[in-house]
Parts: sequence; C-alpha cells; structure tokens
Amino acid sequence: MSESASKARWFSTDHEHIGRQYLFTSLAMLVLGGMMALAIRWQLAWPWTEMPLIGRVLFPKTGHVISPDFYTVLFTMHGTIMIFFVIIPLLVGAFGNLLVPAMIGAREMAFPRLNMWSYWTMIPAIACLLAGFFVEGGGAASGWTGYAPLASVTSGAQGSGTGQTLWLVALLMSGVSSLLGAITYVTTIATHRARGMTLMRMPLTVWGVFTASALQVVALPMLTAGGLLQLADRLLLTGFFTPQNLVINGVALDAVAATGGSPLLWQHLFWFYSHPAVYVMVLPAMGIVSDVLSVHGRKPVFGYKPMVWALCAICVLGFLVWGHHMFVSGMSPAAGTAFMLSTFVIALPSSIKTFNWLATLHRARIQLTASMLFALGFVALFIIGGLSGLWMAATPVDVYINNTYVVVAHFHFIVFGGSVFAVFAGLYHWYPRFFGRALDERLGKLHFVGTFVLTNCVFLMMHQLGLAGMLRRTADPYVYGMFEHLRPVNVFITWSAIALAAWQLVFVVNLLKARATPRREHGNPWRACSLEWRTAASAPIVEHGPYEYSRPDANSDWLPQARDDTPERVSSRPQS
Amino acid sequence: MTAHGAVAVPRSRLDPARLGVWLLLVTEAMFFAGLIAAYLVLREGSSNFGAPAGHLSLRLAAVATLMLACCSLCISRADVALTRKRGPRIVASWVLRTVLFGGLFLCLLAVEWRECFKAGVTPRTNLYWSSFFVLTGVHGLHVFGGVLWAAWAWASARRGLNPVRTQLAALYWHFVDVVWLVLFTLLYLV
Repeated sequence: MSESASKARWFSTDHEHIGRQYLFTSLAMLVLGGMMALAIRWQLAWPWTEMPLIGRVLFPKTGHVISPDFYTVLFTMHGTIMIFFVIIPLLVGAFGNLLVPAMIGAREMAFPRLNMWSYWTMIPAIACLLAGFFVEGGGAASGWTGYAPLASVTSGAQGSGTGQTLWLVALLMSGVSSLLGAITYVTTIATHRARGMTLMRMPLTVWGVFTASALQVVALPMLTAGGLLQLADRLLLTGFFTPQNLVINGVALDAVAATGGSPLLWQHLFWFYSHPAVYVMVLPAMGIVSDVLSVHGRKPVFGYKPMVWALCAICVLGFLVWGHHMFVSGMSPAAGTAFMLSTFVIALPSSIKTFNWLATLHRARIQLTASMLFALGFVALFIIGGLSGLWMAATPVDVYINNTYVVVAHFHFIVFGGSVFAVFAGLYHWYPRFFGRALDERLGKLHFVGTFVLTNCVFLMMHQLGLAGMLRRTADPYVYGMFEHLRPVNVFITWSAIALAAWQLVFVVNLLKARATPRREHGNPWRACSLEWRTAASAPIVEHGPYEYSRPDANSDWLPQARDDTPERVSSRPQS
Repeated sequence: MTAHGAVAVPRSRLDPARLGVWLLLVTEAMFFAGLIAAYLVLREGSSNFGAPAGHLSLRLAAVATLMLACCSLCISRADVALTRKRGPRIVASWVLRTVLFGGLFLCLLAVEWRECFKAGVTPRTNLYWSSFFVLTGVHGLHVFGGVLWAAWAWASARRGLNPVRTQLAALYWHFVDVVWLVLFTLLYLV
C-alpha cells in the first residue's frame, strides 16, 4: 500500500471508517479495563496472594502481589477506562458513526474532518492515561472521580504526582474528543436528514445519539472547566479546590500555595457532567434496544412519540440530579432534598421507556435471535439497576449504603447489564451491515446465556455485600473482622467474574469466525424498515416511520421507510 | 425541487456551518459559566479569598475593553459590508482591523500580567489572583483564537472568497467580547 493510501486509511474522514476505528479501539480498551476488573476481584477474594503465572511478571517489586497503592490505581484506571474510553466511545463514537448517517439517509457527516479529529484526540488521551502506569509514583490513584484535595495536590499519596496530572490531561482530551463528536452528530442530525425524514420518523437509536450528544454539548464543558482549574491547582499551585489549613506529610500547604478553596466545588463541577455522562452511556443504548426489540418482535415500538419525549425528558432532567452523588459530602441537606426529588422524577421517563418496551413485546412475534436475547437481557437488568437507583436516591437510604458495594452493584447493572448488553445487541444486529459478514447465531445465543447468568452471579451478589456494610475501594476488607464472613461471597463473585471474562471468548471466536468467511452482500437480513439496510443506490425519499411492522394493510409484514426499496427486492434472512 | 415534489417536509434550511459554530458557542458559554461560577462561589464562600490589593490597573483594562469593543465593531462592519455586497477590499480592511485590535488587546493583557509579576503577584498569591490569571489567561487564549480565525477570514475575504468565514468569525468575536465584559465587571469593577 502506498504511503498516501495508508495515510488515507488511518486519517480517513469517512464516518463508517471512523466508526470502525472507534469500535475496535474501545473494544481493545474494554479488554484492558476488564483485565483490571479481574485484578481487583482477585485482590478482594484472595488479598495479598500471588496471582498464578502473571503475578511474577506484573508485580516483580512487591513480592508478586498487588500492593495497596497499586490496588488504588487499578480501580481508578478501571473506572476511567470503562466510562471515558469504552462505553461512551462505543455507544456514541462507534454506533453514532456507523448508524446515524445511514439511518437518516445522509451521505456523510456534516463535519467529516472534525469527526476524524474527534477520534484522533481520543488516541493521545488513551496514551496519556496509560503512560501514567510507567511514571514515577505510578498511575493516578484518586478514584475515577478525582476528588479534591487528594487529586488537586501533588504530594497526597503515591501516584498524586505526574500520574495524576497525566490522568487529568487524558480526561480533558477525552472531553474535547467527545465535544467534537457531539457537535458533529447534532449538526448532522439537524441538517443532513434525507427528504421526508422528519424528526418523528427517526429511529430511536438516532434519537438516543442525538439526546446524548446534546447532553454532552451542554454539560461536558463544565467538567472541562473543573478539570482546567484542577490542573491549575496542580501545576500553578492555585487554590481553587485546596482548603485552608491543609497539612500533607508534615507540610502546611498554606505556605506553598494559594489555599482557601472548596473541595465541594470540584464535586459540583465534576458531577455536573459526570452524572449526565451516565445518561450519555444509556440513552443511545435505550435507542438501540428499542430498535432491536421492534425488528425482532416484528411489531412497531409501542408509543413511539412518548419514547421520544421520554428520551428528551431524561436529557433535560439529567441536568438536575447531579447532587444525588453528594448526599453525604457536606452539601446543604436542603439541596440534598431537592436532588432527591429531582432524581425521583427522572424515574418517570425511565419507566415510560420500560413499560413501552414491555408493551412492544406484548403479543409480538418474538424471534429469539442473539440480538433480541441481549436486548431482552438489557430490559431485565436495566429494571434491576434502575429500581435500585430509585431506591438509593432516597437520602436516608443513601446515607446508609453510601460508599458500599450496593452502589457498585447498582451502576454495574446499568453500565454493564445495560450499556454493554445493548452494545452486544447492536453488534449482533448490525454486524452484517457494518462488515458484510454475519455473526453466528448459535454462538451468539451461547454467548448470551453465559453472559446473562454470570452477570447476575457477579453483580447481584454485590448488593448483599453492600448491605452487609462492605466498603468500596478497600484493598483488604477483611482487616475489619466483621467482614470475614463475606469472604466466601467474594470468592464466588471472583470465580463468576473470571468465568464471565472467559465466556467473552465465545464472542471473540464468533468475530474471528465471521472474519474467516468471505465478505458478501447481506441485503436486509432482519427485514428491518429503517434506512441503514437500504439496498437501492438512489437518494432515499422517506415516506414512513421507522417501525412499520405487521401492518394489516400491507402486503408484506414490513414497509421500508423509503419508497424505492420494496420488500420483494430484499433477500430473506440467511440464518435460521 | 425535483420530480418527487410531493414529499412531506423539505430539507432543513439550517446552515450546517452556522449551526456548528452556534454549538461551539454553547460549549464555550458553558465552559466560561463553569469558571465564572467557581469564581463566584469561592468569592462569596471562602474565608480566605484575598483581594487585588491595588495591583490592578483599571485604566489599562478599560483601554483593553475598548480594544475588544473595536474588534466587535469592525467585524460587524465587515459583516454589514458583505450583506450590502461591498467590494472585497472594504470587507477585508474591516476584518484586518479586527485582527489588529485583537492583537492590541493581547499586548495590553501581557503588560498587565508583567506588571503583576513585577509586583510579586502570582497565581499562588491568593484565590483572587488564582482566579484572575486563570480567567484572563483562558479568555486571552480565546482572543488569540479569534485573531487567528479573523486572519484566516481575511486571507479569503481579500480575494472576495468565502464570505461565510467572515460571518462566522463575527459570531465568535461577539461572544468573546461579551465574555470579556462579564470578566471585566467581575474582576475589576465589583
């Protein structure tokens, strides 16, 4: 390949190419973040014991075991990687690029070059983040939330030096990357829709990406502002987040830096984006699941308009609930009550969505494909994670369970059981469209069964740990004698987590198997209405909504959105 | 429209470039909102906020404010000239003046900073000065970005090309100037 061709391949402005770049980069990061999760689990089940085989290679200096400092680095990096470099780029970057233009009938993004830069600012961000492991003092160790003053002073602990600064720079760069992408998607959806593609004819996946991007445009700059101030605290010794009279390792900080700042201020700035970020991680997932349920249930999405308005309501209400992360932070209790109520209110649009999914399934002709199974898994796990969220939004409950494994269980149900399941549902569904190769259905179902059961084995049990009082972010819970009886549960969870990770090899095999088959035209294997499956080459003219399944007045069981793509022209599904 | 005239809704008439710049301004507005909110929270809430203590030059800042006002004025003159279909020379000269006034503003900011450093005032002196340097520094970078943008617009405007570039630069300049008015009020006046 010539030099210019390879440059064109790396720095392509083609959205599908960028989408694939996003997809594989974030899947690689998923593997890395997953490995870290396993290391965390190892430590919680068998603290201070040597990891077989790899312990010698990874931890030569600490007697082949995870040190307390490294444990802190592990959970910090695990959280940061999974949120900012796996879920958000997967759902918004990968699916946004691969699906949005195709679904709205656009030839390209509104800003192809900006779109390319969105990906290429994420790469140095990842490099910065991982470089933290190799600098003096080790990687960042203040949790993915980077709370001040631990994260805003350079001498607080191991890893508060260069590692923490690199972490912060990585966070800021990933923010810029997300913003460039978000501006591109919002503009593309607003201005590049095919003729006849009214807003209320857009598939819900597009609505999901649209609302998530809108959230990012408005909320993310707050985190950038906070991050910049924290960077100033670290590099210029300003005192935005450093309280007065702070003494670290015998040094009074008042003498060397500006102080008098407010650690609580960081929490507000951080959660002002990082709570909406939770919705960024779930809105596109909700859209994907709605699409998959409808196509594989051969039934229109129940209450399309309420579904759209619910997405918009979550998008707007998402701005008003960030304080529920801060009930015990010292924030005014009156504000806590307000945030509790606003969090209760956001359960309304979320339950509209859940009930509409169930109503979509009611008397549907459900095809239990791998994609459908993962979408059903999403609904089930999202209900568990959502209800526990509603319950812990009550301040009195949160005061009790705050900082315990209940919280860990809750957000893993949403982010793993929710977002990751939606990613799998989307991949099984759209893989033929993305790559011209179909994933094996039998392997896919096998993948689902194991993943679903093991996900519950891992995360459902964590509720029990949390209610018993086991704290997050503790390298060795058993130093507290009262947690000794939790050891068997932790061992069980760790074995389940190892099995869950190993089970993903089924998916890897499936990917490799698909790769080995020749590329061919798959047409519209699921007989889906939306535009991304169109086989006609002409510009689409949209005449219908995205979910015209089982219409009594139509000849076939589905009506394509665009007129020149008739059902008869499309081959039937290749697999049983 | 083409033969398929009976389509429900025509294509959106929103201009992508203009919408993109508006979205950029939304992010910028939220970004400055975060910084300014932090400043206000600390000023009202911190027991150790500190004060400028006579090291600020109000006269210098007032002249700088005037410079930015001239930037806004010039770029909007360029905008008006474009709407009235004036020749490229007139448009380009107004854009060039924007670049010059923006450059002057940056020089004045540099003088202000140098005077502060000379007097021994740094970002670590107290929270007021922490905020002062971060806020004016970040805003200065935005003015620098505006100067580059205007220079880029000038390069095409003098050949009568790409009028949109000038119009969008105008949008951005007005935003940068409004932010400065807020910062000037908060840091110097009240």
